[in-house]
Amino acid sequence: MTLDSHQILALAPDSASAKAGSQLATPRNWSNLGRSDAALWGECQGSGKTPYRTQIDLGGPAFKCTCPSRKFPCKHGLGLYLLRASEPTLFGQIDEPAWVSDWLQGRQVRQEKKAERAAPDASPEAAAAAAAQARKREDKREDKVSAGLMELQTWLHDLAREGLASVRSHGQAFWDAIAARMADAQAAPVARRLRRAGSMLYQSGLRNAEGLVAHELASLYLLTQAWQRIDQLEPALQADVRTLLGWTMSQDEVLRQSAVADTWRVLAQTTFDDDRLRVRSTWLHGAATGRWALHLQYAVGTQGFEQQLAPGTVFDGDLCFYPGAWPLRVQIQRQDDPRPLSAIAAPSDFDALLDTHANALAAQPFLERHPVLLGGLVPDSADHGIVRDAQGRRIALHPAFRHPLHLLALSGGHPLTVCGEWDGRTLLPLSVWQDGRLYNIDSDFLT
Amino acid sequence: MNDADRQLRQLLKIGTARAGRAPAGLAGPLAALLPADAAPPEAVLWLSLGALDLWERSGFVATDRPAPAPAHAAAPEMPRPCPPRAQAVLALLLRGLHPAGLEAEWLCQLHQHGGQLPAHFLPKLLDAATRQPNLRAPLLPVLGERGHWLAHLQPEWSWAAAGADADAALWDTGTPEQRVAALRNWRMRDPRAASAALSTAWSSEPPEQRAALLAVLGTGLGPDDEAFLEAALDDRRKEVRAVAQRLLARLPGSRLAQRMQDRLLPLLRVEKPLLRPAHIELALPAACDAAMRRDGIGIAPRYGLGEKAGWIVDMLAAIDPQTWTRHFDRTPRACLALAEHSEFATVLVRGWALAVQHHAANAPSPGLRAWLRDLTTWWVDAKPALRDAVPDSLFDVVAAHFAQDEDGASSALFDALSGRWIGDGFQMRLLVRLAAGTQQAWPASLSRRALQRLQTALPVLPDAGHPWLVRQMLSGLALVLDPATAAASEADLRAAWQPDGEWSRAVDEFFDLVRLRHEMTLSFQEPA
Repeated sequence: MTLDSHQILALAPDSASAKAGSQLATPRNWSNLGRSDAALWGECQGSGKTPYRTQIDLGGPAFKCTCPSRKFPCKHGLGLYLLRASEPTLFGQIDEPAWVSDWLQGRQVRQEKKAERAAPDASPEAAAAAAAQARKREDKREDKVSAGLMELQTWLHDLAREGLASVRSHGQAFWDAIAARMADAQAAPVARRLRRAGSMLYQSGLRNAEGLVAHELASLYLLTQAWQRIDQLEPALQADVRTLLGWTMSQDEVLRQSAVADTWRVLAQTTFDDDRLRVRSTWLHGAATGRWALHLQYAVGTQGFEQQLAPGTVFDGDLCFYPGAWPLRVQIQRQDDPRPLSAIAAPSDFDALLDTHANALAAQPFLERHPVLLGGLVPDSADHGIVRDAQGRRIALHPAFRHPLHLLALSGGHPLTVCGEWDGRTLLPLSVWQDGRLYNIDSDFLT
Repeated sequence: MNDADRQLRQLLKIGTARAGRAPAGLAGPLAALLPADAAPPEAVLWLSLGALDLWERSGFVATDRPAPAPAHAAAPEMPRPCPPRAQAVLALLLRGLHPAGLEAEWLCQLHQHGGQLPAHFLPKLLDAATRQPNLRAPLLPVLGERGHWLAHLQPEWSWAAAGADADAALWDTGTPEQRVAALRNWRMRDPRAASAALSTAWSSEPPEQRAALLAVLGTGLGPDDEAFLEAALDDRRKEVRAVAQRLLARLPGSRLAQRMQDRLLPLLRVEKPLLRPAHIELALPAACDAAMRRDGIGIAPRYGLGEKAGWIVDMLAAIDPQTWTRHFDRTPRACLALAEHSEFATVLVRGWALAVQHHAANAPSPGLRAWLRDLTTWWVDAKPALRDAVPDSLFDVVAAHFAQDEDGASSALFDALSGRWIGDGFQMRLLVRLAAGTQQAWPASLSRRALQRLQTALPVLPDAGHPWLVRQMLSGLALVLDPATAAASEADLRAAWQPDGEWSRAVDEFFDLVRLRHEMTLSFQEPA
């Protein structure tokens, strides 16, 4: 498959690369262009004497270039791909030169190795010793977390006694202190949530900040309770609690889980900054299973994301779910034949959403976001903070949603199908499906 | 349950210590979840809050309040689809990766294509055109039903919420600025109805707003407006009178123009002395009477001219320049030659230039186009003192009509450029101005002529010339030349000139932009 220029630019690590890439997408800069079923390649005359060799594995897509840039993909890769999109005739179907086929083979080998690595291999004694070591480390960590959460519980009791109103005057430092304590206790996600809760209090223009903080802290309190009684929980829910407290599972470990094969539709994608990381969160929906899957990727600085999932495409693949009581997060084990999306599942109505959400919370009460494909929504032309369902019921939009006018523009007062996240009170629209096209709000609704 | 949640949050806000009470028990099945023993009130508070939150989130009940009126929806329409490649180009432009100005051209091409703006671009472009009013003209024709419908929903976009109803409503109740805008829209749609509305409201309009409202008649100005404007010449406010004078002076065949002509003709005659070139002899008027002042003579000082000479300029500016080609029975170029040798050369040139500027502003006749062309080509190699007599604003009018080159008037300018024009600041500034002021792409023949001059001039670019102006001209031309012609000229130009460093980058940028525009044009020719 080749992506369209918009999707290609979405791969750029930053806007400077996007600009440089689109300027390189002219035939003048390129020589020895070619393509095969698997790849695109060309040579780009840079400032040096020898031209850079740029190649793209269309399956990923994955990029490689001989230029010294540390950005990934680099401007040459983007330029080559954009040129292919704008002037496909320049690329003749020819045999891959050695420098292309070598790279493609290398990738193949590495991927096979990766699959091998996923299989456990060790002698029984070594494995036993490693397990004992791990058990010891694990015990130590559990003790740390237990101590930390006891402290958090005491802190929350004090806060309830003193009152949120008087705590407010202590400033952000008050929240940072307990967050730092949680970080020491190796409960990083708890630390992050506390810091964010504190900052919500001091954020101007946030409606009902105290209510939000109250609910967030109460949820953390429930988490401390859940940890104290973790042995009584279902194993799947235990995994959720441990994830929420900062235990992570390595990618290889996840990939060893049994995979779910389906045709996966890439329905929505957002990219945002979290501290120094850039996070790309993508919702996938299985055509046959109807299952939702959340794919998260992280990148530092100007690095690009490893796996390319363009919203509005569909691929055949195997996904491995992280264990949990209501599994959503996945790693991709296999991704084949990505192509433009031509159809989506029949959207659900609001009542069906409420039912599935209740089931989800019953299974995993700490669930924060619940994906949904809702049909028949009409954005309200008077109150931009709500949409109405087919029965005229008001559904509030998430306070962070910034594109009510884009929704109105696409709907024109007529019903829309929206893919979004429901948190139990508000809907955060992430994409819109209309007239056979997916509009991903984060990338297609320009502001 | 909502009430219980509020009470709990209230308790959390003041704190259990200050409130002096434990949280009230939860109702129904939730009560059974909480520890029965004597847990500290703080623990009960947190657990109750958490349980209630989950309870509410898993049992959300939508407030069942149907929309007050049946929701008003945009009328369905089936516009010609906008090709996906063109959409991709617009998305690129809107990311701000390319110089501004291309959006307007894209919108014009969409209009020519017969399409309408895809809905998901509407908010961004309405916002952009709210900030940059010059985008509004190309945007309005491609908004479609959907765009007008959307513009009603956002107060800042009211300028695009066209439709007779919206304008009439704004005219009745809007702020002064909105009323002016509404009247202008109305005037574009239906000049007579708009001027009728203005004359009905005129007597009750606050005097300080009359001038701005009257100026709206400049849109779609026609003989029907003369009576009203003539009456406004006697208004008590100077600003209103000035607007009326200005508009009447632009109105072909107005009584004001006739009065000016009657005053001026006796003062002018052509003198043909032996052995010397023919020239215009001008007698200055003795005094400026009340009737002359009523018509706008001597109201504003003309800088650099004597008082009486200024009166002459005021009179000339109000007379259709075609009067002179008829009166002297000469081409505009020959008229300018007559003026050049006159004692009052600056006065005559200034007056004619102003007259051309006023009369040729909208859809000039062939006679006026001849004046525009001759004045510009004459200016190119006129004496510096006389060049200064031509106001710069004339060239905005030239630029506005520069793309219409059926009669070759625009190409003639490139023939008139002197040999070393690229080193001449005046001529360079003129070209920069022409390129910046053009709204449409130049036709192929004109572009070819411009590129030919460029190709021969650039290689001899003197380093001591005006590099900044040349850069400006190149980037200006890249935006207006016919993209196909310009893209095709790349090989020739690069063969003729291989500069290094700064200039090489300038040429690269020039052709990058030209190619982008070429690509944009092609993108509309793709089947959707």
